[in-house]
Amino acid sequence: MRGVAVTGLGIVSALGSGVAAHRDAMREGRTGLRPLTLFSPEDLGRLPVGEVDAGLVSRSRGPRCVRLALRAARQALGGRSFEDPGLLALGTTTGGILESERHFLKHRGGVGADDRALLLHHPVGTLTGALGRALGLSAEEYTFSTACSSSANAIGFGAAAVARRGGWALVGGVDSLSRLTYAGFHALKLLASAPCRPFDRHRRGLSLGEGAAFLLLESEAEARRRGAPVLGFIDGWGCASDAHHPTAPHPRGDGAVAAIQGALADAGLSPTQVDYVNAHGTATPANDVAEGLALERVFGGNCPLTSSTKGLTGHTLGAAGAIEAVLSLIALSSGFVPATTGLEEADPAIPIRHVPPGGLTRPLSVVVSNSFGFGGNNTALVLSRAVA
Amino acid sequence: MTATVRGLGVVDAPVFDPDPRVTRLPRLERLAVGAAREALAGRGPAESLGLVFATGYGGLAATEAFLQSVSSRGMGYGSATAFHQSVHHSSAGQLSLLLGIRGPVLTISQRELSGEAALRVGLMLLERVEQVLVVAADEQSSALEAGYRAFGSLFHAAEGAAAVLLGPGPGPLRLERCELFSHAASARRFAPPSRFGPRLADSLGTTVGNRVVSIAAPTADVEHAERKVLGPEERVLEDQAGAVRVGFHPSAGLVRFVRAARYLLTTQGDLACVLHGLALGGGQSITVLRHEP
Repeated sequence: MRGVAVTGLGIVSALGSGVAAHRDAMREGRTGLRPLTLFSPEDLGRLPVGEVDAGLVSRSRGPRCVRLALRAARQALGGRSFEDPGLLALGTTTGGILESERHFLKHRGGVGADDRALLLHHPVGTLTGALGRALGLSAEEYTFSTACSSSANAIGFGAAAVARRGGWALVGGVDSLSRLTYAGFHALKLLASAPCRPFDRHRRGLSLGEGAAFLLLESEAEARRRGAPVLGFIDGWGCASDAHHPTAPHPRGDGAVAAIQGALADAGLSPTQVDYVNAHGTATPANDVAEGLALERVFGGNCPLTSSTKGLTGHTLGAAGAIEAVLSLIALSSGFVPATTGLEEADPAIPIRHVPPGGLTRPLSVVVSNSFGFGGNNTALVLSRAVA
Repeated sequence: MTATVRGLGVVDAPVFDPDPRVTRLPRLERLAVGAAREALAGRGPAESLGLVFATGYGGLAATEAFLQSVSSRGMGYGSATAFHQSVHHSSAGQLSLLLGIRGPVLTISQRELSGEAALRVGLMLLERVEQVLVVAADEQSSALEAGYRAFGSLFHAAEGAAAVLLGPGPGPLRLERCELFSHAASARRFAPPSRFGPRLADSLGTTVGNRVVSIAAPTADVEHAERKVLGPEERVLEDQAGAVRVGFHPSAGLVRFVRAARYLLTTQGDLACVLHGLALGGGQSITVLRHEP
């Protein structure tokens, strides 16, 4: 995949809103995790989550997801509009579930005569339509819902489309905190009671988060012709299935290996050309070991610098791929490699090369960003730095 | 982008499967497995096979069951099984497990055009893998009825699943075109005839040779508008002897695709089918399937 330029970025998460806020937080290693306030968790307690500051979520009507997505998408577009139809690809796991569950809990499964608007965004495809309408876009719409790799697949698909036919694509993802995921990950015994500690010997599970991120993609030739800023490139997309278990990753990371190798092949790069891996790194016991083994199988004894940014944002589920793609592009453009926030004592069973505490300042050319999900879904993106 | 259709499957209810792993699955996933197995017709997974699963609402029954347990017993009492089955990608994960698919496995949810969007993604994946299995499934439930009532009490929801195996190279049945359009319309409305009509008319002008048209017909008004665009001379698939009207659900588009493919296969000469799709929120699709014996 060649010539797919990133010409706009937008992001909102527990770290704040916009690229600058995220660049600063990443440099400072400042976590956005704090006790949940969005809804009452009842007997589960207020665990640390990456909740977006209330002041950053507009008070307009509509689901929280749409409001988060609009904020990030508008940043990515930067006021630009396109005469030719393009492509809008959104990744989300639960979409408007926060509103659906409010309806359900109010009416206890019955059909309420009122509050029907709460159900309007239950089909996740409505989010993409709402976004397209609000932004005035003329675009083919796709909603990817591959669990926690959703938005990484939306980015990969959009990039592949731009590589093949030119034009533009607005790609990204969104998910909001919800009772369903809070109680669901608790039921799976995957929620940590303290802020998550990816790759740590004493990690106890993940911390949930929410947010949205979008990338505006254009063919490099067209972007340069119209003088658009080129912020980086999407060079490769790899996707593979474990075919192993409904929720657990393959213990040796078979699907992850295939996804990373597929993305590198798509980019025409060898493993030795990768400078940094932004890992999926959820801090669940199974994920981190499987991912570490997968990285060892791909990179051998030359594992690139690797870190997880989930200690900063929390695990934003369907939005994670897009949020971490934006963080990877910030790392590429700023020449700063973030450390794994929450990591204190590295697990010796995870054979990766950790970024030292405090991060590293060094030029980066190529980054691999991993996103894995339920159902054995594994996705990897290869991103590269813009050359002046 | 075009592809040869190498396998077809369609079910309107879960079929018996002797595999004990299947009998334990929720209804939505059994629907999907039934259609997928039929499309593969006993063939093992190709070495390079991708899967695109389409669903408008995903595991609604599981979502409902999970919320029911949380609302009645408390946040700490949700079922782990219901939770992972509520994830839209759960069916795709089960299909990859049962069928041994280790290539790209994606889930697309695009309201009532989920199947058509999955076909389009599948066409693109054929640039990366040798074959792609496209499966669409949606289940009927009280929650789906509630959802559609929220959209204006327009529909009686149905359910079903369909599967299409796409591959490269020559073959008698060809997916010639699959296009998606979005028109400005609220989440509760279809695009008005003034918007979808020109696209439908264009598709007739660009489909050469003998043809038949499958209409979306989600409501009597929309069906009337579609027929007005087509004119009285156009052959409508749903009017042909033995044709089955597919109920309204987000996967109905792929079900119509499979039924159209089977109709074409019974014909002797060259014949194309133009499938028109419409979704709440303003989506429109044009899919062209051609039979060249």
